[in-house]
Amino acid sequence: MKIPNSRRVVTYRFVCLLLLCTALSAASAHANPETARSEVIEFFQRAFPRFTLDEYAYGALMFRPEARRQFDDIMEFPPFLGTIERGKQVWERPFANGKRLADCFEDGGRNVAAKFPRFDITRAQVVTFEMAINDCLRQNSQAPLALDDMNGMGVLLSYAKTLSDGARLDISAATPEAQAKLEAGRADYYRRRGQMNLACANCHINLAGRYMRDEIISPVLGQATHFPVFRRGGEQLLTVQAYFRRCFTQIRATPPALGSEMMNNLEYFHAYLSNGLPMRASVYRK
Amino acid sequence: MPTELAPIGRARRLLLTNVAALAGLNIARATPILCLLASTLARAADWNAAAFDARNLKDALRLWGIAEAQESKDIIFPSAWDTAENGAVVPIEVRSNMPNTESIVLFADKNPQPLIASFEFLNGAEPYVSTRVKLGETTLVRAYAKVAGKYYLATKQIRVTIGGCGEYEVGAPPTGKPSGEPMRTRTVLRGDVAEVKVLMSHPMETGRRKDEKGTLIPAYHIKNVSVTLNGEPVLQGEWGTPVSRNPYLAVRVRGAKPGDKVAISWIDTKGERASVETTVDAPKP
Repeated sequence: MKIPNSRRVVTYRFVCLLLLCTALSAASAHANPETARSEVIEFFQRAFPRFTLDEYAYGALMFRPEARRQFDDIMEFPPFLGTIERGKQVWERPFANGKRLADCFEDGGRNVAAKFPRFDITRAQVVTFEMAINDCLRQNSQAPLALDDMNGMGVLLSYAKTLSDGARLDISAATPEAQAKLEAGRADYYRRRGQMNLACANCHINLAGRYMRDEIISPVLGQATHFPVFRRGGEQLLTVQAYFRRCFTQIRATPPALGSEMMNNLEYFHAYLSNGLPMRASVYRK
Repeated sequence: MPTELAPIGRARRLLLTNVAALAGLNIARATPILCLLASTLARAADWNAAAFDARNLKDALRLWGIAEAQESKDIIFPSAWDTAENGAVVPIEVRSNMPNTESIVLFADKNPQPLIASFEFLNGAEPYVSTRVKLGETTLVRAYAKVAGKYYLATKQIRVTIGGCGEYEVGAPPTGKPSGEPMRTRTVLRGDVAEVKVLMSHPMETGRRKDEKGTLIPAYHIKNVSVTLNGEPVLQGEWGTPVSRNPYLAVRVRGAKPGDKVAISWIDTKGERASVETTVDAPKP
């Protein structure tokens, strides 16, 4: 059982404040996404005044300097360099028509991942970086990659995202249609579900920075900066939606399919919260 | 060892010791050394299988030949962690400040196979090593340094946590094959000490993991590592399964100059080999 006693949990200082915010924003159905975002940022800055916003790119590592030093030490020569190299070969391998995946994106893909997911006005839906890659494959008469194939799509992303290393997330939601998707994602982020009756926000906002058993829960702020992640010392690669799927499973809820509208909206909101934070790709996590 | 002297290899050093022992008519001491000498000469792929297979610390130490060891403050873990961020890749860095340290051997008390790896320093290698290891649970990590045939010991308790969301997800484990990728190397020259960092590509299967069908993946790992500087061996390593997947190794060699050739090679338990050569670059201004 991984969840601490819920009665004790709710006594935490900031939870009440947050629940109030949540209740308020849920009450106003057309909440401005920017308001939702600044509420989250304010919450974290009040809870952890000693950290700068950029430090949130470290995730839960930021709370333990020793863990951060180990991370920096390993990142100097990470064990998964070979996987990233394999992704690079796919990214730059010419199709039959001589074009490459790299040619589908501006500047060979440099810094483009920082703008995904984005709202596509003609399709009236959220387009993730994975979908844009598959669009490119289709345009060049190639079979698209399965979103849950970590050896295909995951490996490719592990390289393609390094091209945006250091770029600041720049997720836009300028139109009301885009904001509606963002709002749908936000609502799902705060919706309790599963046998454990937990929302994403319960752990990754309310309880972020606190211990769950022996592990510090990472804040949602900054999470979007470093996917896909290599876990368990580089053995397991997970894209952001594959990670979401894990979360659903862990709280014993039925996960939506990868690439489904709900997942895409959730990813859209998730990334939007980290707007302005520097990307760190590709990294490892516990 | 003064650099102007011809480097004395391990075999030759043992021979000298042996002759000295015989000269002193110390037959009791000489006989085991003669046996050891014979085994050392056939050293190319020498690997102490029994010690690496030992399932408890006592046996591992005995089979490695460590009967007793004195604690020493001269063996240092320069970047010691109290808590491992990730039990699958725990960076371990060990340095001995004792002159003429011949080798460093690492053990983790609570690992299913406590012997992690040994590193023998030759021909100007600094008694320093940095690598990454697997720690199954919170454990005492032991570094034994061998000086003039005697073992000295330093320990470091490292906490390993398996947290709320940190457990394995059921899913395809990575293939247990080396990906055939070349080793990656970096060298940094500081003064006359070259630091050589290597990242190898190997699954380092422990023999305790199961595949999707639930069948045990057999142990498969690098067992011997050697580093040479201009053809002279500077480090000989014997490794077990607790060295992390895609192993990392950093060694420091004194007396290196820009343009020197460093070669790293390994051989695994199936007899597969890989090697790479790199050049020591001049320090960046």
